[in-house]
Amino acid sequence: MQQRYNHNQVVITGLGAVTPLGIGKDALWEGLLAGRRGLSNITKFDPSGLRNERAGQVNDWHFDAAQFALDQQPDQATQFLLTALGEAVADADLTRQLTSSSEPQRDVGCILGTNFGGSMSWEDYMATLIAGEPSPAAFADFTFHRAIDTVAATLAVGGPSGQLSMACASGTAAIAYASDLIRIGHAEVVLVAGYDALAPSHLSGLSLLHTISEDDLYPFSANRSGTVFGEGAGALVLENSDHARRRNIRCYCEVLGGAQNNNAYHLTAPDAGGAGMAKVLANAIGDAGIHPDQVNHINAHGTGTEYHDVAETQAIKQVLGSAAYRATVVSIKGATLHLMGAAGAVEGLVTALSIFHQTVPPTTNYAKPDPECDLDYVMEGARQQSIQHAASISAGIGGDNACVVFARTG
Amino acid sequence: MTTKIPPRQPSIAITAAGPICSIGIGRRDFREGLRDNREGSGPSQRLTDTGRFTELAECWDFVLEDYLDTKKTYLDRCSELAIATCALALADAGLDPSGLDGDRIGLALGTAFGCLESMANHSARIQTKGLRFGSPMIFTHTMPNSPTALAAIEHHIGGPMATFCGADMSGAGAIQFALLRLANGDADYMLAGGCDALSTALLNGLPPPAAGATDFVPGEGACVLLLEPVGSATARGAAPPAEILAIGNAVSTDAALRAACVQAGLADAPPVFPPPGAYGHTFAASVVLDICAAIEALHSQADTEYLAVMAPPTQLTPTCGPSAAVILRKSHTEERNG
Repeated sequence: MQQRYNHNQVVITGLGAVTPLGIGKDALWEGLLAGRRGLSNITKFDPSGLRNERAGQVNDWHFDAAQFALDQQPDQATQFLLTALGEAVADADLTRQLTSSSEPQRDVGCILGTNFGGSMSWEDYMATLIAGEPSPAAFADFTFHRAIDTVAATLAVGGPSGQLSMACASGTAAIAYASDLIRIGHAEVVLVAGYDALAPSHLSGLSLLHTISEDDLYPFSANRSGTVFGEGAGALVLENSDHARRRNIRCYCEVLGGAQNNNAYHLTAPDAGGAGMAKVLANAIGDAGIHPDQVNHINAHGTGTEYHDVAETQAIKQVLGSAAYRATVVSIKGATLHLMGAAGAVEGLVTALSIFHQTVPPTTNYAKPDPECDLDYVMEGARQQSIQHAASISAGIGGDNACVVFARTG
Repeated sequence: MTTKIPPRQPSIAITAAGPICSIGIGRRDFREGLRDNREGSGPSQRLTDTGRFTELAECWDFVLEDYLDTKKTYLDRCSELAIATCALALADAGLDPSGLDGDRIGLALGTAFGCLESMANHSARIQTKGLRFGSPMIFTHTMPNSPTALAAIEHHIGGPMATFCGADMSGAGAIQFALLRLANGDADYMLAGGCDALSTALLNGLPPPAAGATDFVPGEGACVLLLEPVGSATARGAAPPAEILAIGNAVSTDAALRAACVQAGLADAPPVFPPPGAYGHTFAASVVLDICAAIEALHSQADTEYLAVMAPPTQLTPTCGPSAAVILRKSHTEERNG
């Protein structure tokens, strides 16, 4: 199968994370392998009235604006973003280049993904609007583009930049698009991140839709009853492989291809048999130039909702055929909870670590087998596994889907 | 940065467009609005609270039912505009999506603010009554990607999909995404553009105009372009008015224009098209409406072959932020209808 319009190889050279499992990618990875969970009581606002008063809250959070050369505290979601991005940039050994340079680097871009932008600032703005004294400052901190502008102010990003919002597919879509930009030569390095923060308005909406479980998040389990949301950020540094080689920097894996589409069916209900997800998985594999049976690990969306998990299982079987039963299919949402716009980026990061360490984290909080979800979800604990090709799938409200295919390097 | 040989990519035609703004709806009406210097601004006819702004550029003559096959229970204004601009562009192109492979037609939309009216509606209920009292129906219409999703559902578009929300250059970001998808062979057609709607929440949130500034008129609008490879457009008998050669995306307008020129293989930057300003500041739709206006200018100026259309950093955060430059080339195949 031939790759199309590919001129440059794309590798991942830096990773960073802020999740309910802790600050930093090591806390995330070690927490996943140990089967820890980030579920706790919501304390950042009064959750009375929600279907579930627990979530994946980032606890004990502190942010020093001065550390990022900012005059004031940005919205909390942007704080998560900057922290994760800072770690990823340092991990890629690009801190000096991107923070000390007075000239924006024209070959360094940035693509972000978010569902809700500065969501806590939106609550602040709405309070002032209702009180009759609207605050343009709070509005500015909410706006979706505030984050990309803040990144441009703190890092010397001068190349192609953009902000995506595709519901819970945002993070994965950001990785796919960033890899496009490097493949065609518009950038040598692209910083990618997905981020979101818990806030009353969207948790209320998701609660009213019964998307949220009153109980807990059990991915692919017979007793699943909905998802539980969380907050945080995942960041990756994507780089042209030649550029990375010249810098002699360690590569976690290669980004082989990606795809994104829409079910074109319904705003909230999944289409029959996960047809849209099947197409995006097939298209991503095709874009990667490999055969479906070469995919031996999938980081699934796996939200623990009644219809989605079986639809995703059906989609994987449709595309991989019998190879679906030889692949490992993992959802990390039982551990991290559903991180909304950050989910795809965190899951892409974890997929990169899985390939790098040749180790698959378990599907934490898997409880009870469901005959309709009968793949190898790695229930017993972390597993050493040879992974040559892996896919990360995400889907969101509105019917948006995204998928990225990764490969082992060297 | 290593100089690269630009990868060979198909020339991309702008086959059709669906402009909706205060001076016209649809390509012909928009063209006439520009030609006749139609007055685009005035007091709002839709909103009772417009903050500190007395002059707005609303889509005055917009009637949603003209573009829908079925009646909808609820739609945010931004979604209304998104559905309608896609309908106009498809009609302008003479394409019926029900006769196409839905997986081979994609949609990329940019929106600076998304569905603020619905967001404010939902959040106000929660803040005044409690978390239990939001509206699940309205909530599903608050997501920034819901205009894109609803347009995809309405028009049976299941191909490559993206929603950009990076302020004024979101529309350019959407077009850039569309170009990549067509170059990669992921779609036969891409609808790409921007939409933004006026709302009380937006108008009260915008910063006060700079002292003495009188020319910032908030506007609403939408415009998608129908993009396809030039070869396939001419093969099916279409007459595209222009081609997109390149989009440059960088931290400054100069760098964006330079990047676009490199991609387009142009040694000298083409003239920059001055935005008409006739339809107010329509945020993510601005650059796409400006592209439509630039196409008209290309064909009215016999000795102009190329134009650059700029999407500068948003006026809302003037200190930083990405910019985009779109380079257009006149196509000579369209018959101009007066």
